[in-house]
Amino acid sequence: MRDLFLYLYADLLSLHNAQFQLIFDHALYYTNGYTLNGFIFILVPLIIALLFYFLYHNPFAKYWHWLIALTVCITIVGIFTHQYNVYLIFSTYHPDLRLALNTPDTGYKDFAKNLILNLTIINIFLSTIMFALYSLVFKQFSKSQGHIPI
Amino acid sequence: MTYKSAFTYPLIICIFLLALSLSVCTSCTSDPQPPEVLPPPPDPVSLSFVNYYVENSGGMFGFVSGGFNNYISTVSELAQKAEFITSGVEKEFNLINGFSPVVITPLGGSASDFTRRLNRNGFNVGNIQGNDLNKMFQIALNEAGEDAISFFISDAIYDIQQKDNPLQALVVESRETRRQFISRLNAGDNVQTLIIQLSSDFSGRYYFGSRFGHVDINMPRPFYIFVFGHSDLVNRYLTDAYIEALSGYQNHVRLFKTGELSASYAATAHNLIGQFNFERGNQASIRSVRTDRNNIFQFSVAADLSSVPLSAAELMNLQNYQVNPNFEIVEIKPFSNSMLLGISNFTPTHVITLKSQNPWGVLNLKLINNRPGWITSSHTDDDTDVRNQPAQTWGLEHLISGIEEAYSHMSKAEYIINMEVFIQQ
Repeated sequence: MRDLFLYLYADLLSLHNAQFQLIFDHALYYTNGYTLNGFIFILVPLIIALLFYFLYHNPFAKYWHWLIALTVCITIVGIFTHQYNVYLIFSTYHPDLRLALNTPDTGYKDFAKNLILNLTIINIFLSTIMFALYSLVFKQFSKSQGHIPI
Repeated sequence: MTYKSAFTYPLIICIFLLALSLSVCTSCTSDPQPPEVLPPPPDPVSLSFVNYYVENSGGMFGFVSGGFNNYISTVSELAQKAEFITSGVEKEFNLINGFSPVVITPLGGSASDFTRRLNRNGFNVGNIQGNDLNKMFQIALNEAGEDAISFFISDAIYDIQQKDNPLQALVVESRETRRQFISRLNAGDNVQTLIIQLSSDFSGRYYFGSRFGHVDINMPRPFYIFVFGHSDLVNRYLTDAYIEALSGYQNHVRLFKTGELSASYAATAHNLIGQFNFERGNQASIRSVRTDRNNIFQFSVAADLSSVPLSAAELMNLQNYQVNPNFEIVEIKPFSNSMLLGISNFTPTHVITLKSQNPWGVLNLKLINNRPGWITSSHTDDDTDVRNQPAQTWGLEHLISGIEEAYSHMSKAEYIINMEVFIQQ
């Protein structure tokens, strides 16, 4: 599972930069950071979609209700991803990584900030896709919102 | 479809997915991957005995005739080496000379008694008329073992009996030297030969190697200390720092069987140009390697070369490394913590940066034991003009070549260490 999400983020989405390997190893890989980032974009849209299609009953709901649900979803994903990765990287216990982050010449701190931003954007994008996919499935079973988003 | 059944199936699926993800999460720990457990280091070899063989043929008298000089200082220092005393090592001192037969004059185990013999009278024993270097090598080599070191101190000039064709005689002597060393190395143990070149004031009769006759001189002349012993012992007791501090030190070279050493190493992103991903579980493999916009790929190999018995200068010398034709070594630097390589299962000593425009394939980075230039520059085929050759030794290159060829013949590989890195597209 860990290597699957590693492949997704590091290889497929080209997040990896070997020059800052300490972050990828000790903040993301060995802590299962990749895995939990993956679960964020899979599970949060799932829960939001479930809530929207099976707990929110509004037979007169329009597509923009769905958009609101999507907005809530990506907001939660964005906040979770950002805060989680800030914690993973900047609260690391690994001495070499801590040294790297605290040494301005290494460029680690700036790279880490950009990485967190990129991870957040990627997860928002992926969660949008997942929410759309869940919507296409759940709408089949929803009594009230079977007509949205399309 | 009823309301309940419409909700039930997706709910079941979601509960299943949640349960699965929870179980995966709980089975994953946030503990970092434990570092690879390294095997315990082997027990160090211990030194019990040191044998000293000091050549006292006529040609050596000049080193002990002019008062206190580098020769006497260095030989005394070796005889009374502090670590030998603290280690409680037994010592045996001998003078050795003669040609068929070689004559050994034992002097006992007292360093002070031995140093009192470092003068003309003390040297005037045995057969001072000649020296059979190869026989002397054989004697000293045979005394060196798993727990014993031998010193042989000489001017390293072959005493060829037939002077009508000295160069041919040198070749013959060199081949005999090679035979002696092959014979010793064939015993299987890890014997190293350390050759130290020093210079000292020489006041006395110099006997030509290339022709009959002699000349009286008063000038610096080279002398050599050959050290034989288990590689671990020689490296431990005769460190580069110790050798280079000896009075009159000029140069040294260590000869040992190659292809038997291994070193920990890893590819790193130090000095990176281009891009790559690390291969999980294999530090010697990198993938998704890409050059930069100028078609250059550059990366570094960090290695632990602490087990290699070469000097710090030799380990930093680019000439001692061989690499694939499509690669170029950019620089070699000692490792420092500020490099932030993130290697946890060994501590590197050196970081070697390499560059290529076509990097994909298997990189073979080899550390080789190149012959140092001083051997050639210290050699002469004609010592007739010895007064203008204060740093040259007749036939030196042939002598050392014989030893080198023996080690080369008995070595498993031409290189000391080969660091293989798989570079995948």
